Amino acid sequence: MSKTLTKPPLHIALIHPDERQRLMLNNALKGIGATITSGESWSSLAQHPLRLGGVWVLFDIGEETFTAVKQLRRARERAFWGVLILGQGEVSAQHQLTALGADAYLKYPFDFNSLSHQILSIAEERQPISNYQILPQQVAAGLDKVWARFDKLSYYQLLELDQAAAPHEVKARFHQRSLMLHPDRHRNIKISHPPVYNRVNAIYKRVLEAYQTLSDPLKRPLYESMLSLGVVEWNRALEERRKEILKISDDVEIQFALANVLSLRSRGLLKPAYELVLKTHQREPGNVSIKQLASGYEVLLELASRDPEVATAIEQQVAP
Amino acid sequence: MSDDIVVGIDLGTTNSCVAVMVDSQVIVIPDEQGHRIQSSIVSFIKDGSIIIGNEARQELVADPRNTVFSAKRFIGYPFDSKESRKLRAQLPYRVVRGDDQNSMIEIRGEAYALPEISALVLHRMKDLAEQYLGVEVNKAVVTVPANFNDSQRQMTKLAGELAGLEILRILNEPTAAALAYGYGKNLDAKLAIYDLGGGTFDMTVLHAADNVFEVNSTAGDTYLGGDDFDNRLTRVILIYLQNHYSFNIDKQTHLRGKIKHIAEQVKKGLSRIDKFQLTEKIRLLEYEEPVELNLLMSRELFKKQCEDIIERSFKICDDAFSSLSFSPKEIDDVILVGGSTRVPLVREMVEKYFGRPPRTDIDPDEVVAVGAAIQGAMLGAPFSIEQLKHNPLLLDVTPVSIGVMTIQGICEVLIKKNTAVPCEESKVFTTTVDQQTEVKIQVFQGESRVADDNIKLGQLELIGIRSAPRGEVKIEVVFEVDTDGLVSVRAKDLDTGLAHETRVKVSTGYSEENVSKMKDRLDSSGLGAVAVSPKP
Ligand SMILES: Nc1ncnc2c1ncn2[C@@H]1O[C@H](COP(=O)(O)OP(=O)(O)OP(=O)(O)O)[C@@H](O)[C@H]1O
Ligand SMILES: [Mg+2]
Repeated sequence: MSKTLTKPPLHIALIHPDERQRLMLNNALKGIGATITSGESWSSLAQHPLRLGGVWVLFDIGEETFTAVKQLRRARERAFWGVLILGQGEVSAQHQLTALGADAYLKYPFDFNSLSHQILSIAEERQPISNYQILPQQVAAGLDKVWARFDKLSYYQLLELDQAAAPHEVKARFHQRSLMLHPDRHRNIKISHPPVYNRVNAIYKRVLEAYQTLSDPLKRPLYESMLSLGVVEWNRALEERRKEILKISDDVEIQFALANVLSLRSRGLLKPAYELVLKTHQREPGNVSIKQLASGYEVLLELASRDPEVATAIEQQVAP
Repeated sequence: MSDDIVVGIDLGTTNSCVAVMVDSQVIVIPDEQGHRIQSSIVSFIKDGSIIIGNEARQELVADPRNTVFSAKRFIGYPFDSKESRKLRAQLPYRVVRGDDQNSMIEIRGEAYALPEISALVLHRMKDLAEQYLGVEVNKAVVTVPANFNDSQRQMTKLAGELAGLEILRILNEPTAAALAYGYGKNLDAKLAIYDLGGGTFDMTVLHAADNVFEVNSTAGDTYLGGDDFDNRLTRVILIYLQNHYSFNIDKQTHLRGKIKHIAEQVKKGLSRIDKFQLTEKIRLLEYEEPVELNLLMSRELFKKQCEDIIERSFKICDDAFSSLSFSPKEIDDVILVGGSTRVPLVREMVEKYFGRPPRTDIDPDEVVAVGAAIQGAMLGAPFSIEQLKHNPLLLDVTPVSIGVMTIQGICEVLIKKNTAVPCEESKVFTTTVDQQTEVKIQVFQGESRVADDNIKLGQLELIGIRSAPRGEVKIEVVFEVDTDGLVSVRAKDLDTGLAHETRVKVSTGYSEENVSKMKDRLDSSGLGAVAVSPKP
């Protein structure tokens, strides 16, 4: 830590059932210049609103610790909380806790130097970008907002675009984001603040991915259908659908249309989906696959027209 | 102040050029004689001094064994590759096998690595900039053909470091050209960059809008260029000679080189005028007096001889457009780069292909260095919202696919060519034998499905894997391409989430020991840090 940088404030929440241990850790950690809140159990501190950018130091006492890590990881600001576990070093617990999202596991007995070193590096890894005051506040706040929900944001949310956005709007928004986030714009912090640089880079990569999907006339409708169906492993599913479509026809217009059929269908818009299939069929009347698709829709529509209950069921039935 | 200066260097096969941006103006830096272009030639003089650039040109004829040209053609090709073998056959200087399969150039019993030769050229460019600006220059953006692979880029970067330059970016030549063309124009246009140099051809399609230069696709051939024209004309001249004189071609030591030189003059002459009267005296072993070479060359003849070569470039253009949703005819501006685009037939055929005349208002020799200088200034600029909005941004792509070798020797592509950088792709590897503690993965770059037909980037070794029944350990390997087009790899144990120890050995790299040897040699030649090449 020899860098001359604006160090953001550090908060530590220390949980240990044994008071003497707590005191000892407390004293040992005074040197690193943090505000420390300590308690005997997770439940005693769970309600404590740790400010953004804190590190939770938990003693591994089994079940309760698992719950704590899980809850911390589920919380809204989880992206900015570091979790460090102190424990007896039982291998399976160690694996489980890191799998749940703990940043590190320190085995008893440890020396205090390595404890403070770990805390500092976790803090650095997890600090909100705004705390560093190296990027304009407005940019930093925007990045933190994205980072807090990074894994949950849809591509549309990430780019702050409406689902109906036109291709040129997608492009313009991507350009605007690129001008701010591209790694070339952050060369100066690459060496001085690697954790910030890495985070900006990760966000930019996702932005790029979003653009690549939303600007692709085949992938975008497929992504939309995954989105409305709530498919979790959508990346793989999308690739499978894409391959299926490519097999049906070499005509790109037909490929785009079929992707749109799926998108309509996933939103329960059965009739428009059917009409699009028909139109596509006219373009390539000899195509058996499209013909089959059309008759499939005819059956569905026929069923739906006869029985309103079936109609609702079809609309809600998710698999296209 | 000098800390902020970033020069842009076009390190060409035949010619190099250096430029710098001062107060939003780009200056192409001239040498002592006012020349803005330098020959990429390095000549090692008997007394131990080294001549670099235009002054070394005369040594091509005077001392061909100790004068190195076209070093860039070799860079990144292992000694035993067919490319290297083919090149060696035509060169007057000696190429030998170095450590780690690299080609080395042997001068008076001493072997030089290719990055060392490039370093000398870069050093000359750095010198020119320092003399002109009157301050020290430590940072540069250096350009490479878009089709350069990872090891060629690595070596170019190494050359820069050897020359005492921090390389802020390895930039693709066509992208640089586009930036030079579009800078400050507030374009919203689709651009095609047609770059025909001495030895390589690149086609790059990009879209400039909102101050962002976004590369859509790039394609190229590392063996297509002005050299091919020269070879065809050389053949014509040799046939003429053989028809008029009787001599044994294999016995004439420097004839081919000399004729090739003449052929290039003819070619350039035909760029200026319709008909070129060639009158030369040639020495032949079988004749006491030099023989007469009297030949009227015409553009018509040039067309007959070279049309198919130019035709080949459009196959590559087709390739670049094949993945795009628009056709060549929809391009807004066609930009010519490289000396060979001065050939009128090239311009004519380009016009036909794109359905519009190419831009002729930019200097094809300087445009790449100018673009590099602009990019250098952008990368050197501090972060501020104002700058961000005002400064142009380049978004480039990977020119070559990256993959790993699977069991049957098949190359499984992980990152497709023309993917925007930075990008990353991951793949999960597992053990195939019980208690296996090491996994080796071969990484390749290229478009062939057969791994061995591609260029091997290196071997990735996952070591210290925890001992378990086969298939139980799952390691995620992430392949990443950064904005320099350089590849890196990291691995993570999926069960523990811990970073995994890896080793990547790049087969065409140099050991640290060899690199420090290169550094020492440059320093002791007086060129490592400060010296200036001798004045003529
Ligand atoms: N007036 C001209 N007419 C025809 N060809 C020319 C003319 N001037 C230069 N050339 C050719 O251009 C080629 C050199 O071009 P250029 O300097 O762009 O290449 P380079 O940048 O060194 O190579 P590369 O970009 O492939 O690394 C040579 O083959 C040369 O003969
Ligand atoms: Mg060039």
